[in-house]
Amino acid sequence: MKTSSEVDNYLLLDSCIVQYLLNKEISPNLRQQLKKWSGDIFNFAISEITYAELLNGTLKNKEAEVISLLDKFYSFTISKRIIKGCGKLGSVYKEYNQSLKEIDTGDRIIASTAIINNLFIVTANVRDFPFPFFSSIANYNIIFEKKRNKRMISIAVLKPNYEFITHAFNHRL
Amino acid sequence: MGAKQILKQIDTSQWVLKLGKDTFTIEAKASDVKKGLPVNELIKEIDKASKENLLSNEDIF
Repeated sequence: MKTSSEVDNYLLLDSCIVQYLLNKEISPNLRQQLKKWSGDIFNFAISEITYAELLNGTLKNKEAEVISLLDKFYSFTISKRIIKGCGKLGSVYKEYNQSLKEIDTGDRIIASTAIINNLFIVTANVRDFPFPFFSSIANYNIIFEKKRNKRMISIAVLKPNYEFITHAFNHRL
Repeated sequence: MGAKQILKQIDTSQWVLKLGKDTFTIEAKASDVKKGLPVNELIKEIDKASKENLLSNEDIF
C-alpha cells in the first residue's frame, strides 16, 4: 500500500499559471493557494509544451534560468498518443461548437495530456478547457495590486469529464 | 477546497475510454513523467525565481 509521501497524483499547471508564478505581484498568493490544493497529495506537473510557451516570452539572457526552473517541475512528455488526442480533440471541439475551434494547439496538448493521464488542470483561462469537456471542481480569486490599481484573476481546478468526452468522440460526424 | 477533497474527485477504478474500436486505459504512465522536485522544494525555487523578472512579457495586464 502506498503512503501519502509516495506522491503519484499531479496537478497539471497550465502555462499561464507558471507565468503567473513568475510574476512577483501574483506569485505569493498563487503559491499559497496551489500549496493548499496540493497538500501532501499532489505534485505540480507541467506539459512539455509549457517550455515552448514560456520561452516564447523570455529574454535571451534569461532562457537558461527559465529552462532550469521548468526542469524542476514534474513534466509530461508530449507522446504520439497525446498529439493524436490533441488533433482529435480539435475536431470534436469544432463539431460541438464552432467557437471552440479558436482554442489553440498548445491548450489542446495540455487538455489531451490531462485526459489521457487522468490529471486535474489548474488554469486561469477556463475558456481554453471548455465545459462540458472539463468541469470545474474548485475556484479561487487572487486580488493583487498593479500600477496602483487592484486587479483580479480567477484560477480553477478542472477535471476531464470522461462521460461527455467518450460520448463526443463516439458520436463524431 | 483542499487537496483531500480534490483527490476524492478521482475515480479510483481505472477509467477506460472507448473511442470507436480503440480502448484506452486512463492513467498516468510513469514512463511519460519526468521527475521533478516535491512541492515544498519547488515552491522555494519559484519564490526565488519570481523575484528575478525572468519573463520579458511580465507586464501582462
